[in-house]
Formats: sequence, C-alpha cells, structure tokens
Amino acid sequence: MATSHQRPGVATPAAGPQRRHPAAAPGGGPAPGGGPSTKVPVFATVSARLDQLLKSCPTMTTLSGDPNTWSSLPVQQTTTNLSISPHQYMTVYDEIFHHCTSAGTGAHGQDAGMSNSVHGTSVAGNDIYMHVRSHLVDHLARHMLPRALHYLAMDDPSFQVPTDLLSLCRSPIPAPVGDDIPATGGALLNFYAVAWRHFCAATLIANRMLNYLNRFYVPSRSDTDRSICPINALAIKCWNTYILEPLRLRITNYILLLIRKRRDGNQAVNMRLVKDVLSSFYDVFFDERNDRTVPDAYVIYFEQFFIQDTVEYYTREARAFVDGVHHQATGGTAATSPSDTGAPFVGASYRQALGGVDTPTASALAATTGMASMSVDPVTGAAAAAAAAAAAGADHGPGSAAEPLLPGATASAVAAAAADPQRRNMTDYARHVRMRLAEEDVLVRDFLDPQGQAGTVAKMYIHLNTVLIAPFKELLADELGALLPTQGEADIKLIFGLLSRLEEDAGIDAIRPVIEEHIRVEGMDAVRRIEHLTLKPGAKTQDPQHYVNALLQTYETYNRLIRVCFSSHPTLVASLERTIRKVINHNVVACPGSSAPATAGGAADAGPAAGRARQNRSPELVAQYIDHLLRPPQQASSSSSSAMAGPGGLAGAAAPLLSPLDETALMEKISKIIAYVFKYIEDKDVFEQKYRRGLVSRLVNKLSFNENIEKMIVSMLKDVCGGTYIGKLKLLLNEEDLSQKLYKNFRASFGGTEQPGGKSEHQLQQTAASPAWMAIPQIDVLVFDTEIWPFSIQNLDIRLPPALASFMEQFEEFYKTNNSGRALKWMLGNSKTDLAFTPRARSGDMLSAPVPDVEAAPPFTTYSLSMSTQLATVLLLFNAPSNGPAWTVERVSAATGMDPANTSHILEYLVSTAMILLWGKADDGQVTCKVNSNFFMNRPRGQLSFSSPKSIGASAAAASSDMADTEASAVDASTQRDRAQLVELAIVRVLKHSDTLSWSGLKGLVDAQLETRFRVDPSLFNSSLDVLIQKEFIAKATPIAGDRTGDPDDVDADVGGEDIFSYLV
Amino acid sequence: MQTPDIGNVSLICKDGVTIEVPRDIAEKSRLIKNLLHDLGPVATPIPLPSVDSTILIEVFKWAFHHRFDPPPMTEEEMASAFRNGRSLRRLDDISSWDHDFCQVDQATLFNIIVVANYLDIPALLDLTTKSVATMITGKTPEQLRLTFNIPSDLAPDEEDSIQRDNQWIGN
Repeated sequence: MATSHQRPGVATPAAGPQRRHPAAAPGGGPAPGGGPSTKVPVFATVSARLDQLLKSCPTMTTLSGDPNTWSSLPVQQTTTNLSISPHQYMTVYDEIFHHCTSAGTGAHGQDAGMSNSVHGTSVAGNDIYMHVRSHLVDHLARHMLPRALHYLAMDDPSFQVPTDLLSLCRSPIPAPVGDDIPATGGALLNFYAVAWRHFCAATLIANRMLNYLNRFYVPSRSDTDRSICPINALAIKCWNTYILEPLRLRITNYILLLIRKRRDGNQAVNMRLVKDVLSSFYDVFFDERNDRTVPDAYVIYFEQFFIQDTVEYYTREARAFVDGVHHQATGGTAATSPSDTGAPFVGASYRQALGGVDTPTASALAATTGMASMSVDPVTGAAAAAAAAAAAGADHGPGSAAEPLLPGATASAVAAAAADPQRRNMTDYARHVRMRLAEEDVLVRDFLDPQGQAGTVAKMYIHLNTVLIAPFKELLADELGALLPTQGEADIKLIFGLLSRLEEDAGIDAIRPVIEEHIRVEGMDAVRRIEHLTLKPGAKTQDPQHYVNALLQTYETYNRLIRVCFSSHPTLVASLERTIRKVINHNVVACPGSSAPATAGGAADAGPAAGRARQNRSPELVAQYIDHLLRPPQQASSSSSSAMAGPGGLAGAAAPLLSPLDETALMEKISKIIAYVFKYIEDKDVFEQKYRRGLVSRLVNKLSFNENIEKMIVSMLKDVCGGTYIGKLKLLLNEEDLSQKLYKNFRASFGGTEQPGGKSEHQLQQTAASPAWMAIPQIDVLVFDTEIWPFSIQNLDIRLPPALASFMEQFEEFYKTNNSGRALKWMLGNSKTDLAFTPRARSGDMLSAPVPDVEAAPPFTTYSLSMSTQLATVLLLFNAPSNGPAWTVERVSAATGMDPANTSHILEYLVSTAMILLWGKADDGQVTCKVNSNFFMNRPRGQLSFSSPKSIGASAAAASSDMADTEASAVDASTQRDRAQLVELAIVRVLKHSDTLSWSGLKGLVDAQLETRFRVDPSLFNSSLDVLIQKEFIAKATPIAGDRTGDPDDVDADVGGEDIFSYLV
Repeated sequence: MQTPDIGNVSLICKDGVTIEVPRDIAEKSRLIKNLLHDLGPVATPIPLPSVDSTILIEVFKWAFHHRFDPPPMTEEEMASAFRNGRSLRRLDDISSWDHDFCQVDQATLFNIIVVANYLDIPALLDLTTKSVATMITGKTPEQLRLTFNIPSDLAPDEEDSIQRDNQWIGN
C-alpha cells in the first residue's frame, strides 16, 4: 500500500520555509470563531458532508433491474443524490477556513511570531486532511469493497475471497441475492462502472468544497511529503488502493472476455461498459509528480494484457487460416480445427506479470493459469481443450470463464475454407485480414478513450501487423507476383496495402523483387515481340517506331500500376526506374546477341573498347524516332545525311511512316519519350550526337515541324540533363535564328518583298519564276558558322545559271558590307533546287513555272522536282532553245564548268530517270541528249518516290549507307574520345576538391558527375587514370605494402586493398 | 464588450445584509464560481458567514472596475509559480485606479486582504498584498514598527549592539 495510514495527530512538522499564509501575515487579522476546541465540529461537518456525497452511490437496492445494464443508465440517474445546499457547502468551507487561519494563533498564544503562525496553519490543515483521508478509506473499505466482492461472487460463485482481501474489508460481504442472474463478469463490471462514475462525481465536489486545503495546506506539504496531494487525487489514490488494485486482474479478465466475445462476432457486447470501466484506469497514477517516465496505470493494468490477448487471438486465427490455405494448395485433407484453442485469459505471461504484485486475487487466477498451460502444447491442445470444456461443464468451475473461448472465428474461418476449396488462397487471406483490421478499428473506437487510444491503437496495430502480416509477407508477395499479370488491381492494391503497414518497409522489401522481376520480364518481352519489326533481317536501317513505342508503353503501363496500385511508394518508384533503365538499355534490340542483361554488364570488363563491340542501340533509335516525328511525313523516310536528294513527286508522298500528328499531340508524345525513355538511357552522349545530326539536317533542310517545338525539346532535354548537355544543340538553334534575321535584312535592303522561307531548300532555293532564263528566282540563303555546323566545305566547281550567280554576288556583297572581316563560303554542294518540270511535245520551254494547277493543265503534266543544284544546273541547260546545238557531254561540261567525268555521271543519272533521252550522235561522234518530252511517271501519283532502288539513287544510296557506316564508326570513335576526355576532366576535378580518394570513392564521385551523360565504364575509367598518371596530373599510392606495381589492371582485380589517388599540383 | 453572463447571484453577509450582483462579478471569486459549478443553479442566497458587507462592497467595487480583465492565471500556473518561487510580480505595476482603491485605512485594507483570500480572488489578493508591500519598502525598522504598530521585541541594549555591529549598512 503506497499510502500508509497516518493518524491525524502525528503530522510531521513542516521543514523549510513555508508559503506565507496571507490571512495570518498581519497580526491584526480578524479571527472569529474558536481555537482548538472547534476541531470536533469541523470534523463532524466534514464527515457529514462527505457521507452525504459518497453514500448516495446507487447499489443493488437503489438500482432496479438487471445489473448487466446499470452502466448504460444515464449519468444523471446515478448521481442524482449528490445535491448539497449552498449553506452546507459554505459551512464546510467556512469552518475549514477558520480552523486553518485561527488554529495557529490559538495554539501559540498572543505573542506567537509569524513563522509559528505558519506552522500552526500547516498542522491545522493536516488534521483535517488526515480526517478526510481516513473517511475516504473507511467509506471504500466498509461499503464499496464488500459490495464489489459481493458482485464478483455473483459472477463466479466458486470464487473464494482470499483472506488478505477479506482483511481489507471493514464490514461483512453481503450475501448473494439469489443466484438466478447469469452474469459472467457483468455484475462486477457494471457495479464497478457505476460506482466509479459516482465516486468521481462525488469527490469532484468534495475536492472543491475542501478547496481551502488544496490551496494552502497541500502545496505547503506536498514538497516534503509525496503522499500529500489534492483531495481529488487523494480520492483516486484511495480508490486504487481499496478497489481497483485488489480487483484489477479480475476486471481486466472480464474486459478481455467481452472483447473476445465481440471479436468472435457477438455484436451485442456492451462496449460502453468496457469504456466506462477503463476510464477509471486512466485516472490512476503512481507518481504524484506527473513523471512521464513512470508508465500509466492504464498501461500496466490493461494495455499490456490487451495487446497480448490480441496477439494470441490473431496468431491462432492467422495460422489456422493460412494452414488451411496450404492444405488446399497441397491437395491435403481439409484442415481440421487448429489445435491450440487457448484459454481466454492472458495465460502464463499474465501470471508472470502478477509475480511482483502479490495481490489478493492471485488465488482467483490459479484456475486460469492451468488452462493457459494447455495452449503451450499444440499437439495435445485440442484434446486438452475438450477436456477443459468437459471439466467446465462438470463442476461449473472456472470453466464458466472458459466457455466463450471456443474458437468461434477460427472455426468459422476453417469452415469457410472447407466450403470453397478451390478459391482458397492468399488473396482471400488478405481480404480476411483487411476485414479484421477494419473490425478492430471499430472495436477500438468503441471502447477506448481518445486519450488512451492513440498509444494503444498504435501499439495494437503494430502487433496486429506483426502477427497477421509479417509472418506471411513472402506468401503474400508470391501471391502478388501471381496477381500482377492478371491486372487485378483491387487485389494488388489490397495486398500492397497490407504489406505497406509493416514497419521499416519490411513488406515493401518483400514485394520489391517480385515487382521488379515482373516489370523486367514484361518489358523485355514487349521489346522481343517487336524485335522483328525493328531490325528487319538484312535491312540496313532500323525502324525505331515500334521499339520506342514499346518502351514507352512499358513505362506507362507500369508507371500507372505503381501509381494506382502502389500509391507511388517511393521505394517502388525507384524500383520501377531501375528496372525500366535495365529494360531500355539491355534489351534484345539495344544489345543484340546478349539478351541477358547480366552479360551486358560483364562485357564491359573484358577490356577497353573491345567489350563494346556494338554500342547500346537505344539512344540511336530514340534519336531517330524523334527525328522521324519531327519531319513532315513524306520526308520522314529520307536519310538525314544524303546530299543527293532526289526529286519528290508533286502531290506524291511516300507512304507516311507515321500518321501525322498535330502539334500538341506531337509535343506530348515527344515529351513522354524524353521523360520516360530518354531519361533512362545510359549513353546520353550518344543520343546527343545522333539527335544533333538529325537537328542539323532538319534545320538545314527546313524539314522541322516548327522551331518552337525544336526549342521546347531542347529545353526538355535540359531539364533532364542540365545546361552543358544541350550546349551544342542550343548553338545550332541560335545560329538558325541569326541566319533568318540576316536574310530578312538582306531582303529588306535588296528591296525584295517576298517573305523569306520557302518550302524546302538547302542553301539556295530556286523556283524558276518564269520561263525566262533571266527571271529572278526565289532564293533562300542560310548563313552558318563553320565552327558550329558539321559540314565539310566542298567547293562545287560549277558555273551556275546567271540568275543564281548574280543573286549570289549581291548577297555576298551585302554580307561583306555588313560583316566585314568574315569570309563567306558558298556550299553549293549542300544546296537544293526545286524545279517545275513540264514535259511537252514541243521542246523548248519544258522547264517552266509557275506550276500549273494539276487539274487545269492536261495534257501537260507538271512535276515539281527537288534536286541538287548540280543536277538543276545541268537540267536547266536543256531549257535553251531547241535549235541550238545538241547537248553532248563535252558541251554540258563546258557550259557548266564541271569536269567531264562528273558531267557524264550526272547525265547518266538523268537519262536513267528518263527525263533526258539519248538522242543521237553529234558530228564528233559524241552522244547527244535531249529532254524527254514524253516523260511520264508511270506509277500512281501517290507512290511516286525517287528513292527507288532502280534509279541511280541506288548506287548513291549504297554509297551513302557505306558512308553512314564509316560515319557511325567515326561517331563511335569520337564518342569514345569525348568520353575519355570527360572522364579525365572529371577525375581531375574530383581530386582537386578532395585530397586523396580510394578507387571506389573516386569512381563514385566521377559517376555522379557524369551521370547525365553516360555510364562510366570501369575499363575506360582505369585507362583514363593511367593517362593521368602518365601525365603526372595525379599520383597513385598503394596502401598495403604489397609488391603490386603500377599496373592499373590490378585496380579492379583487388578490391580489398584499394589504391589511393591524389592530385599532384 | 458584452456582459458575459446573465443572471444575478445573491450573497448573504455575516451582518445579514444581502447583496445581489451579476453572476460574472460574483464569479471573480473562485470559491463562488466553484460552488455555482458544483451545485448548479441555486435558488437560495449563498451564505458568506465570514464576510462583512462593507468589505464585500469594496471587493465588488474592485470587481466591477476589473469586470472585463483577461482571466487570471489558472490554478496550475499559480501553483507552478508558487512552487518555483518564481515571482513575476512587481510592485510598480499598480494602475492609478487600483492605487486609489488601496488608499483606505489599514484595518479596511487588511480586511479586504482576508476576504480576497477567503473568496479566492487571486488578482485582488495580489493587489492588496502588493500595496502593503509598498508600505514596507524603504522604511527603517523604527518606521515599520510605527507604521504597523509592532512593539519592539528587543531590549534597548540589544538594539544598540546590533546598531553598532552593523554600522556599515549605513543609516
């Protein structure tokens, strides 16, 4: 007993300076009333009022009806008898006031000093305080405890009141009033709830009525004597000592019994009662100082048992359920009832908890501990339980408590399992758990007080998770793996929801590999399905469309999955990204030959450059695809680098590779590609190169959809990779802008009115404006910086048509006056010319413009041809009057200034297109040519395409593809060079910042720096280190005194003792 | 500002005089406030068997003047202030009205203190004890004895020796 009984007289003298009593401070204070002789009246008054408050507690006799329902009575009805008149109230207060303020002066006489007076107050308050305490104790021990034991006996007739409990009682325990009330725990709990409620209400009033003690006596003493506390706290302490502590194990057991009934599906359980009873637990405190480190009585009295009981209940249920699942899965016999149908009481550990606290109820628990021990042995458990049930039935002993133990929910779960053997799987288990968790949520809300709830509910859920989910996380993860292909979103969500409840991401970690594997397999499969579409056997070119779309679709599918079913859990989002990265960089198309991603990584170790026989093709394909998207459909198929463009048909377009997209759709598509595919490409520098080539081609050929889109793409790339990555692309776009402005200025100064920008041309665009040779053609000039644009300047040795030549002179003059000091070089080799070609029977002005409307111009069909300036120059010669000398190779060569070999090559080409016919022989024996006035394209218009393999274009195409190959290897080589340089730079930069670094530390930092460009290959990294060491930029130290020389290949061979690198100034 | 509570409370003083004040005025006293809270609406007047009506009227004068003051410290705050011995109280923050209020004869002032304590009106108790404290500060023992009518409990020769030993304190 924490509070020992103090006789009122033996108050300890107060130590230390006391709080000054204001009323006693000045000597002249009024002190009506008497001295020590007034003690008795004060005690009498206080006792009378306390009795009036406390004894009004309803009892069996004052409350009618079933004790099971008492606690649901309204509060009013149980506290009506508390009425006390203002006069009574004030009398108590007044008498205590006078007792306290006058006792000192009375006791110590006239000349008592101030300090004595304070002492007197303390003593005077003390006697009343002790009187109040003994009164409370007497009330509880004389009236409440015997009554509580009386109701306990009604609940459990076999209960023998232990002697130590009996000795607490100050009056005999009332005999049971008829044993016809079958109240298993109900009588005690109901009585307790009502009595507690009343006691609280009564002592609350008493507390204030006696407030003068709280104000002056208690603060002055509580510093030195812990047992002195305000009256209401004192009352609760007494309650704890005389009622709660002796009965708490019984009470807790009955509460757990009710909760178990409820879990077993009995909705009629009165959880309100539980709530009422528990509210008394909250108020009990062990430490008067409000020390938070001392656990709450609630935790010790109830929470731990509750948690334990919950854990046992659900452990059993989960095992039974999942065992049932397994029996079904293995085709075994239908699961029988789980063996360990334990006792309802908290069992052995409960007993253990009692150990330290030797309470009077220990003997009452003996019976239940016996039952708990049965549950320890699962083999004999079922038999034991049966035996226990039989015993309970036979002697009506503690078995009355064991009765509700019969595993209701477990049995029903097993029954359900047996009823539907096919569909019994972990998904059902997950559904069951979800249902149970929801039930627990409601249950807990029903009986826990908000102040206790937060902690207990949190604890309970942690334990529920540990019991219901954690042991089965692998099974659930497997189930999830099986569900993923079915797209059963609700179930996936459900299982994820359960697993994500586990702490420290334990559940997420369990499903992560499953999800990653699923995405990887599906992604690789998606690529494999379109492999034949992308890499047509034998074809030189690749079709990036299906490939990129497959990657895009893979990403979008699983991004959605992660978002919808997995709430975008950060760990899983990272998983998705990691896996997508794998799929994008190591699939069959990207790395033909090595389909397994593991070998792709292994190949890198083989040696520098050698391991990379063929680069990852993803960046190239993605760049190609974006290029395709950005070109107008009919041009999409033409190779980006071929200078020898053939004429396209007037209305004829090559079958569009892509259906035309409008601008926003296009933008959306490209931004998706960048965000979902490009972002995960490892060799981003390769992409940049390929993309840049496409961009140059688009800009120079004016093939781009529009420049805003180009700019937006570049800024999107910048968002992913940063400013340095797009530096070159940005320059290109700026140049394009500058050139356009320049040309506009030229037009303005030249007096030209037409708007710049034709439909399709290269550096020079010419549309023959009239049949007249001299007409000023529409010409478009692009002026670019040779440093930035990847053109090799080839001087085209040709005499241009006069109109062109004069234009060029004018432009050159304009440019030089405006930009003195700069050289302007014409790159006619890269130019393109559009001609309108109208073959007519009458030769002479077959090449004319403007292009007539197609419908309106039969029988003369006009073809719009786009060709190189070279070709155009030659072709235009044939526009000369027909009465002139026939054109021979020699004459053409002379007229154009080209060398004869080249000239004959061009003429051959023209003849092969049937635009020019071999006509006859000139006088000197040379072949003459003339325009084919019956030129006819014998193919349907829509399919008119000049890239037919039959034309001379074939050889050109072959040549260009050869060129593309060499170019590709050149790109590879330059990529390697660039990379080596970047790696070296990064190493130096990193080492400059940190003095010394181990190999792996250095590698990590360098990796981080170059992350947005490419993945640093260990061999490349090592060779870069070597180069730097040789150049004596950095130094290498081998930490272990091994005999290792500076062979860099050892570096990654030996991981244990890593080399240390440092920067040499 | 609106009057916070409706209804009046009747109080019977020691001398039999009944005083009726608005409830919020009466509840400046925590004693009355608690009582009203515990007993609910009371039909009969509340007896104050130890309070004189003249003093109670003084108290209510003060209460009316401070009717709309912010609520005083809670019990916990008071208790912790008590326990920590930390005093935020100052002697120089008495408003002029309060100062005038305290300019009464000593007996009345002390009676107000007692009643403020009895009725549990912390703010008033503060004010009045503070005003007593200002009477003490800056006075010599002789002056204090004079002011509060306290007879000296030392023999004259003892007084002299103390005076001698502590001359450094200065007069």
